[in-house]
Amino acid sequence: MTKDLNFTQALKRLEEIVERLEDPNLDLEVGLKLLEEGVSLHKLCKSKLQQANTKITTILKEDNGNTAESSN
Amino acid sequence: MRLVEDRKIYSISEANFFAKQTLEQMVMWIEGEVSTCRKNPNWNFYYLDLKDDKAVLPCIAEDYMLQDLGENPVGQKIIAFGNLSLYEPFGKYQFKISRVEKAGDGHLQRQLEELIRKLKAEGLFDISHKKEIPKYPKRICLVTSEGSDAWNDFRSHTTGVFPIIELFTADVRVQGPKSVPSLLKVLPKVDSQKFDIIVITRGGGSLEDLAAFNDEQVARCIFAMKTPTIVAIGHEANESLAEWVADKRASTPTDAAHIVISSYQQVLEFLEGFKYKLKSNSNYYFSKNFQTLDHYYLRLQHAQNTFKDLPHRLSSIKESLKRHEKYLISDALEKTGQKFYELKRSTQSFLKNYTNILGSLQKSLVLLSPKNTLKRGYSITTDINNRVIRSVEGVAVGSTIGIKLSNGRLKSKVTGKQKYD
Repeated sequence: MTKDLNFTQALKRLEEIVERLEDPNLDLEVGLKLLEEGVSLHKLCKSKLQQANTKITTILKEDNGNTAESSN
Repeated sequence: MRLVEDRKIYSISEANFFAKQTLEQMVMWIEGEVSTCRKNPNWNFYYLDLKDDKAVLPCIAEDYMLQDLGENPVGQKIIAFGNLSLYEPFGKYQFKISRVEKAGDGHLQRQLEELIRKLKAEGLFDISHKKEIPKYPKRICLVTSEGSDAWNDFRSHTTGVFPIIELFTADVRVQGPKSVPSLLKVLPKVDSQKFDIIVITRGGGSLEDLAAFNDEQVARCIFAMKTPTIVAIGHEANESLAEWVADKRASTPTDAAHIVISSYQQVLEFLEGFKYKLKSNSNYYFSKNFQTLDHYYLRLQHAQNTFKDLPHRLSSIKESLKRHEKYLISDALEKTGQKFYELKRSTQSFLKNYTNILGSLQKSLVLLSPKNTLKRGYSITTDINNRVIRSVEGVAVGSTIGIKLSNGRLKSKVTGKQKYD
């Protein structure tokens, strides 16, 4: 289920989880499940964000190269 | 003149004189370029040679007439009014100038102004006839002299910058007598070829150089074109009829190129702006989201630690339970023991109490039993059927009755009866 979420959805879910985990009356088993989900969501978000960042940096770099060539 | 064998023979002087008479009747405007100019050493007049591309005409003019031409008239194009004549001593044919105008701003200019007025009156310059220049043209036809500076300028500022623009050249003569026919032939042809824009251009020059673009036929031809047309003739200062009838006027070939690419240029600038925004926004987006993720991670870790802590907390709870166990159990035992004792005691007193009650009840029972009563002297009277008699009524005098005593019974006869009040 976690895998199907897009970045924004995953981030929102992560926020929800973090907030719920901070509830002192949280049940142990529920808490462990949430923690597991939260850690995997964090991993997912981070990897998505890193991929996007790398991609955009590359694109902007490539584009700079192109405009330099065409203006010559 | 003299007559020799029926022939009229004229002297040289006479011949020249006649020629002069005839020539001097030819009064006209002429146009040409001053190729030589020298002053007569003794008199205030000049000898000029005027030429075009085929011939030369010697002229004479008084010095004041040449004032407008400045210090060096050589190379200038002039329009001169005057008459042909002959210098009799040398039989030399010449044009006597009486009025001089620069070719640029005189006669031709006036003709042009007249033409402009005429075409304006016909509505050829009306804004309502101007077609809109497409913003993003792809196929452009450049009507000019191929290889000229104008051609180069326009090319380098259009396809040179935006290769998406396909540029075709319709090579025409832009100067000289062949340029009008050339334009009239080419323009309708390119107009039918579905170009997005047709650009007609040439570099600057004198009014004569630009003559084809002030030609009425050419102007009407440009006006009739269906394709949006930009005309750029000459330098900033030059203006031509062709420009007036065009859908859009440009001052120079480069200016025309700028009009053509302006929308592309704008898009490019927009895109540059967007790119800049994209860059800064994405930087912001990524740093913000990385931060958020780090923050969440910390909080997750914190939650994890809480869970990691659980076994420890559980064992400490167990320890404290153990510690309390002893007290709890002994306390409970003590409490139970006391309760049991209380229960025992209350049960005992309860039993004792009832035992007493039972004893006294037993005593009462013994005392009240009929046997004991008979023993104390009481008796029980019955009829012959052994039924207990409780009243004197119903017992007849003379009847037999039974009397039960503690140790036997009697059979007796009623001899009298008395009833108590």
